[in-house]
Order: sequence, then structure tokens, then C-alpha cells
Amino acid sequence: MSKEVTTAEPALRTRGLSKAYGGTLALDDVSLTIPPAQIVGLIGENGAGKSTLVKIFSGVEHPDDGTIEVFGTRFDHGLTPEVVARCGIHVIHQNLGLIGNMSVADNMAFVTGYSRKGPFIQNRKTIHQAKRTLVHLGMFELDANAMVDRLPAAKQTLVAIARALATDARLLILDEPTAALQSEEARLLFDNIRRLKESGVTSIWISHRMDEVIDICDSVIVLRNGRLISCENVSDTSERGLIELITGSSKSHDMSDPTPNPSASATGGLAIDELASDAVGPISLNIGAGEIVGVTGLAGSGHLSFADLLLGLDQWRRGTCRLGEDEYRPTSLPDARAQQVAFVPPDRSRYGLVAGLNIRENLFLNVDKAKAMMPGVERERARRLVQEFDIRPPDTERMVSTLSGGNSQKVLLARELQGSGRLLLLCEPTAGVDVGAKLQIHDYVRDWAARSGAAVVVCSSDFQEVCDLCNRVVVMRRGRVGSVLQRPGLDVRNVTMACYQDEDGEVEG
Amino acid sequence: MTAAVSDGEGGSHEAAAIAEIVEGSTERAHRLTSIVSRHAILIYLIVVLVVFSIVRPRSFATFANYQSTLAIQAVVVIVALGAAVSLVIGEMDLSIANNTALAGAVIIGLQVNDHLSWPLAVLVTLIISVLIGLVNAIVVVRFHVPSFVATLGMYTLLEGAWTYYLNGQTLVPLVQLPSAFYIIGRGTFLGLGAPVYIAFGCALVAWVVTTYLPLGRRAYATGGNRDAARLSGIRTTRIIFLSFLVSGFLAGIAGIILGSEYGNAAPGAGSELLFPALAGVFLGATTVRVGRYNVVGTVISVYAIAFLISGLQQLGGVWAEQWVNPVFDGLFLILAVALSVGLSRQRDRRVALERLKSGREREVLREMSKSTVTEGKAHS
Repeated sequence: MSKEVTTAEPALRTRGLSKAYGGTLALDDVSLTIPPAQIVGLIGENGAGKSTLVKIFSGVEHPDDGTIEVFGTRFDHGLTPEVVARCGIHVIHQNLGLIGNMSVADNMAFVTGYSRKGPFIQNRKTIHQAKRTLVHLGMFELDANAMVDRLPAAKQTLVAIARALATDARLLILDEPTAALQSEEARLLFDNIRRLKESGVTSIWISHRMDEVIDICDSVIVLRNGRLISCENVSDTSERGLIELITGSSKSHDMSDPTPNPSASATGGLAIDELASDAVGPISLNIGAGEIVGVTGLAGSGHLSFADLLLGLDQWRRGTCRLGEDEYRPTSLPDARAQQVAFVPPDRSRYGLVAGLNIRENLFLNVDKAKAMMPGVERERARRLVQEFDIRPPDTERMVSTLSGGNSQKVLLARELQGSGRLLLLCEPTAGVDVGAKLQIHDYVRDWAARSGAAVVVCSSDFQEVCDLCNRVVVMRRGRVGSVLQRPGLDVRNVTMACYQDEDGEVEG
Repeated sequence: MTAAVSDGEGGSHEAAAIAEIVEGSTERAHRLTSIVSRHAILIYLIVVLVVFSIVRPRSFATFANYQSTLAIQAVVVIVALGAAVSLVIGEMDLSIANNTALAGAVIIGLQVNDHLSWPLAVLVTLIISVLIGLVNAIVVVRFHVPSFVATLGMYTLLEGAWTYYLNGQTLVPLVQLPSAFYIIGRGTFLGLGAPVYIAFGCALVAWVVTTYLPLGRRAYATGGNRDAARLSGIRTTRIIFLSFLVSGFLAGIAGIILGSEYGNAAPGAGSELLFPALAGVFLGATTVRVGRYNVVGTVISVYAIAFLISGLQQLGGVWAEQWVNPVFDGLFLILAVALSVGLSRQRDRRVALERLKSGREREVLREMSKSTVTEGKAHS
């Protein structure tokens, strides 16, 4: 806490804010001050506590400890969404919460109220009112009549901001507002936020892009592992300085479980050559048999599209792939699966499991014709898998919707790791999974890789995970392979550094 | 209980034991209620049979009544199976009833107007019905029209088709059709009508497929979570196509039975089957395999509804009037859905409670193993 800017009445001030989930501290004694009419950056790794802080500021989570002061009013037990709205705090989430098939004016009128005569909406007056608000906010580039879903992404964000300010918001919290934007588009947002600052609006700007934070913010708050690391003026710092604050320059994570390098056999393995789709690539990478390669990166870097590419879900624009001795070019998912590719999709409730079916049925969701579904046989095999993967409760007939995150993930894993395979793709394999299950899942993947001799690709946003689990880690940047990290030297800090590295490799690990 | 309270500190152990016993017995009670609720419709069917047999021993409790209700409802069972096949994969086929009506017209028309032999007429009728299913599938899968709209449109379109085909009049064969043809709808074996055998045969096949064959598993997966099914390598569009073809095929069978049973083709005969069939499927999902469209539940439910209505009609008076049938079909349809929604909400609540409980256990475990866990990530 080098320099805390203090004024008579800060927009937001916290003292000793703490929040724990289960056994882990998401926020640990955070005391910070956001001065009024400033743009304050909020940065940190995935899982550093940013989201928790935003949730507390928006009133959806309550701190376990600590006080919050909003424009001079003190709250000892956290906020509620009503209080937040009354105090003029407004969070602009990445999902803007706009109604796409209605006009800008309509979207604004939903919160400010329509101009009415008796029970009838006065359309012209409503539009006029929206126009006046937009002009007042200086957002001349927004047309009140435009349909929201026809607007470019940056303008949609502006609509969300205008809507917030139309209800007298004084503090905007913008959660990665530029993650989905091109740099020119982001410029539009910068200009508006700066202008709003002149008229007294305070903004908290959450971002992964250091250049942007330095460009737009007056001061910056850095969180690491739930702790406030620094709160400093941007003029005092550099991109590199910020990255070191985020990762903790001196601290290096110890390798808790070094995986032995597999003997890269000539047979098996995956060879990717200049593979590209519209979204990502070109990518060239060789993965040995039994090797576990992590693919990671910041949000939007393309590390999650990597699996889609390899499965052929994203159409290949160029490049080739070899799986063992054979050319690998999946035309469809069933085709990929026929070539012994296993896939653990992300977001298990959406893409992985069928909630209305039980554990056994989910384990044998796509039974092939050769394997009969005789009740006794299947139940026995399910029982064995449930035991092997330590799924609790060990009841094969239980609906998967009743399982905890860790156990449902194990069901998904058990389904995909049956038998042998040549390539295994895992997407966010331990998202929303408790620590114990996470370690188990890592063990199962390691065992399976060693046993089957398949090439394993782990696409994950969890840096710790790829460092723990993988032999090598590919860090994606802007849809391409940014860097490849190997042991030794594979730790969270180096991965983070690699994420923020420039194209020309300015920042070194 | 009192001992535990008076014992003070030392009693906490006993209290825990008591709590465990109480929990155990509620568990048992819970299992019992779950068995009862799983077979509620069957129990209800038996109650209906017993009550009306007592009240109307001379008309209801006769073999002839059971026989005719079973036979008449056989067609409903087949149409209901068609509806179930599409509901399992998460779509809806409303066109089946008029597909049945068209098949009923065509099977007579082909023999009377086109002088086809009856086996050939059966074949052509089935092909037409399956083709209608194919068109439904194409519209739903290729043109992404929601199946509710696509098949509702087809329902009306087919009404036009049979009206055109019959010219709005009942088609009565002037010469007797071959007697072999009448066996389909009128034949009896061991006291039961041929339609009953056909319906139960279809149900048996459907039951085996849905519970014991990979195809059935894939169908339920497709209906339960299409994305997950697709990503697990299931060719979901193929499953959807197949399901519409099967529902069309079943409608064709139902139509042929109707044609054979009546011996003529009345405009719209069969189109009134939609609601009893749907009511049967929805009610069926509240029993046997609760929360899942299932074959056995569907068959039981169709008969449960039918025997109630037949019993009521035999009470005479108002109950015998014509409005009773549609009113009860409608009531059962709404009731069935309300019941299944209620059951699934109840299950969700129980799950939430269980999660809360196991969450607490996990927290204790986590506290215990805190020292061994080095680093964890927050849910942020």
C-alpha cells in the first residue's frame, strides 16, 4: 500500500474486507480507497479475488468481515443490491444485460421508465428523452432508435453505461469491458469513460490488458491471492512493474508434483502442423505419446478454442495433423471419436452431462453397438467405474443433478477415460471443483496418460493446474502459440509473465 | 429423547444417535413414499377398476367391457407411443393424430378406389405415414422450425389432405373387403382383440429399445441435453430423424387398425386421438420412471384415463353425455403436466437440501485436511 490517495469523501472505501469460500480465502483483509471522479484499475490473475470483490460491491455476496463505505455512508455488514442501487453503484458485467431485439431508447426506458399518457406509452417522447440523456452524457455516437443487437460491441457497452448513468449512477464498475473488443473499438470506450470522469463519475476498470490500464487509469489496485498488494498511481509504474506486482516478482511457486517426462516414443503422439481456423492459429505443436501438454492463456487468447480446433468443431482453414502414423482430419465429432479421441468438454452441466439421467446412464451415454446394455452387466461396470474414480455417493442409480461439482466432473472423466485412446482433450477439467477432487482428477489423468500412451491436451485457464499437471505448457496469445514453457521453469509466475508478454517478447520470464 | 435432554452434556452423543435413528426412519418412510408415488398411476388404475366394478357390477365389471376398452384404447396406446418417441428426444409431434386419420382414409381408399390388394395397401399406407414423419424431420432439423410449430402446421395440413382425399364424405366399400384385412382391427385371440396385441407388441419393442438398447440411451441423451449428447459423439440429427420416422410409422399402424376396425373411412376418424394420447404420455412421465417419458408409464396412463371415463359414462345421467370425454382428456393433460412439474420441483428441493447437508460435511472434512492442502483457488 504505497500511496493511498485520500480525499474528504472517497467514492468507496473498505476496511479489512475478508471473504472465504469453504476453506480458501478469496479476499484477505483488503483495505482500499477509491477516490471520487477517478478511473481506478483493478488487476490480478484469474482467481486473485477480483470477481469476489465485484460481487461484494454489487451486493450479491456479503463479506465475512470488514466494512464498506460508499460516498461517506458506512456499512458494517456488506451491501445488498438495493443499497448498491441507492448509493449509485452500477456494475457493467461482460454480459451487458441488454435486450438485443429492442432499441437503445427502449433499453434505457426499461430502467428510467417510459413517458406515458395514462396507460399508453408515448413512443416519440420516450425516444426524445433517451436522446436527451445521450446528448447530456456526450454520447453523440449512439442513435436512440438503433436496435441494440445491430450495434458493434463497444457501442453496446456504451448503451449499458448510458443506461446506468440515466439512473444517477455515480460509480461504475466495469468488468473486463474490453475483453471482446478490437483496439479501435476500445478507444471509443476510453474516450467516453474519460469524459464521464470529467463530469464526476468514478470508474473501477477491471482488465487483463496492462497497456490499457496504464493508458486510462489514474491509479491501480493489484490483488494477488485475495490480498491487496498495491494501490498506486499509474504515473509511477510501468507495464512490467504491474506484471511483477500481479505475479509477485520474488515469489516462485514450488512444483508440488513434478511429473516425470515421458519417453517420447516414435509411435503415437500428435503432430500439429500449421493448423488454423478462422478463430485461432496457425499452430504448430508436437505432443509425444503419454505426454500431457497444457494450453492456457488469458480470457480471449484462444486457449479454449484450441480443443474445438482439434476436434474439428471449428472448420480447418489450413494445416494438417497426424495422430500416430495416420493422418488426422476429423470431419465431425463422431468421426473424431472413431479415431479414438476422447474429449472432456468445458461447463459439464451444459456440454457434459445429461441432468435427467443417472450416473450409470451418463457413464454409458453413447454406448456403442458392440457393448450390450444388459442391466446386470452395465450396472456392474458402472459400479467398478464409480469405485475406480471415487464418485460419491457410490450409487450408480443416482441422478447426476444431485452430485457435487467434483463428483459430477469425475463422472464425466470416468465416461471419457474408459478403455484406451490416442488423444485426450480436456477443457477446464477442474472448474468449480473442490481442491480434493481436483488433485484426484489430476491423478486420474496422469495415470491414464501413462497407461494408454495417448497424447493429452489440457486446455485450462487455471495456471496452477497446468503447472501441476502438465509436462509442457503452451501459452496462447491472440489465437497463436505465444510461448512454450518447459520444466524446469514451469511455474505460475512464468506462465503469467508469458501471458502478458508482447508480440516481440519485450517482457521476459 | 427426554433422556438426551436431561443428560445435558453427556447426552449429546445420544442425541446424535437419536437423530441418526430418526433420520434413518425418515429415510425408510421416504423410500416407501417414493415407491408409492412411483406407482401412483397403477394404484389409481386399480382403484378405478375396483370402485367401478363395485358400483356398476353388471356393466363395468364385465369381461366384454374390459375387452372393448382394451381394444378401443389400443389405438390410443399406439398414437401415444408415437408421441412419446418424439418427446423422448425433446421434440413434439402433434401431427401424429391427423397422420393416423389420413392413414385410416388411405388404407380404405387404396383398396376401394385403386383396387390394391390389402397387403399392398398396408405397405403403401405405412410408406405415406413414414414420409410425413420424414417431412416433419426435415422441417425441424434442416429448417430449424420448432417442432411444436412444424408439426402443428402439419396437423392442419393433413386435415386438409384427408378432407380432400375423402371429398368430405365417408368412404364405404361397396363390396366386402377381403376378410384377412378385417382381422387387423376385429380379430380376436384368447379373448383379446388383435389391436391389443399389435399395441402391446409395439409397446414391447419400444420398451426394449428405450430401456435396454444403446439407441434408447442415445435418444434420452439427445432429449436431455442435446449439446452434451452431440459432444459425446452421438449423431443427434440422425436420432431426431429416426424418431420422427418412427412416430409417423406408429401413426400409420394406428390408422390401418382404425380402417380395419370401422371397415370404412370417415373423415377425421383418428384425429381426436391427439389429446388422450398426449395426456397418456405426460401422465406416464409421472410414474414408473418418474420425470422421464417412458413406455410402461404411458401404457398404464392411457388405460387409467380410459377406464375412468368409461366408468363415468356407465354411471349414466350427465356422465354419459358427449362432453365428458374431451373435458376429461383436457383435465388429465393439464393435471399430468402440473403433477410432473410439481414432482420435479419437489425433487429439486430435496436435492438442494441434500447438497446443503453434504456441503456441511465437506466443510468439516476440509477443515480437517486444511493442513495438507497447500494451495487452492477461490471461486472467483
